[in-house]
Amino acid sequence: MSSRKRRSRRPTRAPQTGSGPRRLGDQAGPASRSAGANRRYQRSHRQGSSRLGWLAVGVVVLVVAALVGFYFARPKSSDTGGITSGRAPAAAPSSVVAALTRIPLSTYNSVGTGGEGDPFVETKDQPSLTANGLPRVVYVGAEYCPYCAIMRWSVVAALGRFGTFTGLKESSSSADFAPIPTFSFLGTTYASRYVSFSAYETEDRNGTTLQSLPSDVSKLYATYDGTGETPTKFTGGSYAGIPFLDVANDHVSSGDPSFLAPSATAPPVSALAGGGPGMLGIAEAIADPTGVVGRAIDARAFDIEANYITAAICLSDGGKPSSVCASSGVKAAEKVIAAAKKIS
Amino acid sequence: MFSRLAGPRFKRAAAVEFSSGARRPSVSARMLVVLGSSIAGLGIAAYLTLVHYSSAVHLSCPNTGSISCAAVTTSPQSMLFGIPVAVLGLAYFVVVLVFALPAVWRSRNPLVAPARLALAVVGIGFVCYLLYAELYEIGKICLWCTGVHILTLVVFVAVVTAWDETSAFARESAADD
Repeated sequence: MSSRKRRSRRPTRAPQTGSGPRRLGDQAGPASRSAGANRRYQRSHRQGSSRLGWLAVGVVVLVVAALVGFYFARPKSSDTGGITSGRAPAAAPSSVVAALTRIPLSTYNSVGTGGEGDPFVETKDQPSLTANGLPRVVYVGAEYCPYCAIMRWSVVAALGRFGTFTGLKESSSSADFAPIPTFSFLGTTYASRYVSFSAYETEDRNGTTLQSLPSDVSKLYATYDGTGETPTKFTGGSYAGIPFLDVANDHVSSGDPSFLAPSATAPPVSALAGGGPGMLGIAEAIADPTGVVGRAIDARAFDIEANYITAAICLSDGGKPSSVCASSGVKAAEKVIAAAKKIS
Repeated sequence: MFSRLAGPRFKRAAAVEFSSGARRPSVSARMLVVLGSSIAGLGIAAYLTLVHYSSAVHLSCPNTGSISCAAVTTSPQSMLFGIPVAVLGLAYFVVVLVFALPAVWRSRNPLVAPARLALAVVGIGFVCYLLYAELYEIGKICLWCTGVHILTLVVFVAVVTAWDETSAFARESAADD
């Protein structure tokens, strides 16, 4: 009689019947071979996708590197005509600049022109004044000049609606007359998609020469503001003087308008002489001219001037950006400008 | 879960394998990177949003040479269609954070991975535009914004390089259904 040893059987793989999970470690068989082939296909597909992914990453990194590289490699230009002096007043606090360049649209719209006339002399048939394809705004003033001190608040507020200032300095006009808190454009840069701005501070608070005017700006000043004490047909018969503001050669002004600086004994000049509420207080008052401080310094006048400067820029740049140029305050100023007599 | 016959050579972390061979993605390094980046990005975007709306909170940032956070965050380019870019960044990172949660990262829904990829591509495209605006239109660099840009780039890299892992699984597990 023969005997058989009993041996335990190796478990066989259960046939695949459904789509439920298959446990790892199950033995290979015909369905697993197809799964293995499937895995090999997926692996090669993943490798292809992985390469494409890293290629996309490489492209993005190259683009970023190019943007940064070109920025640091290009020569920097200055809008301020060069600095002939080493003097550098303190930087204007960012809170002041922010308050002045973020005046609510509602404030500008509610003030409008305030019934005040066009502070500019409107021109016609003049050569266009542009820089880098953009309408150019030119300012000429001096740090000692009290009326320049007043005007700069409106210039910064208006231009802040079209671009960004960097490096604005804190300053005040000469103590000999009335030290009015203000900015200085010395060493300032301005960046905008819509308008180019060039500012020249010719003398410091003590009357010492700061910046010399380039020949093209000297010519503009002589044409639209006069030479020394000699007026031009664009200054309405009054003496030449600073601040000088030229918006694309279409709108020019010499000195402050009467509503912005009626006299040395009336606000805002009288209210700000000696410091007034300080830089931040002035900026906040211009943003809210109906408040206590706003009424005390006649902050409304700054908003009116800012609306007119804004309107002049809008008329020169084709009404961009529309969020600014289509606002009611600017439209009101544009209407007054359009009705003004033009001098050629 | 694992057959005893498999022995110790199979990793404990290996996921359940479906009949088509697709492996469900486990908690991966890339997912954690996206999660961490989106949380950090959310924090910075929230801070920038607060600075935008509150004059009592000032940006803590140097203002020297090429660096000026104030110049960048108060520029016309800081608004897009009337919406502050900081708010757009906040919304972006909230959505990225949701897509980075483990349950969503490992989702079997075939739309999730492509949506996450599209989000990453839109994010990096927008970063390229903002970088151009900073450098060539404003002329200044905002350090906080640069932090957000770097985090967005990190999200992009992690999502793009995880595409094969997440999309293949979703495609194939959808086929299993």
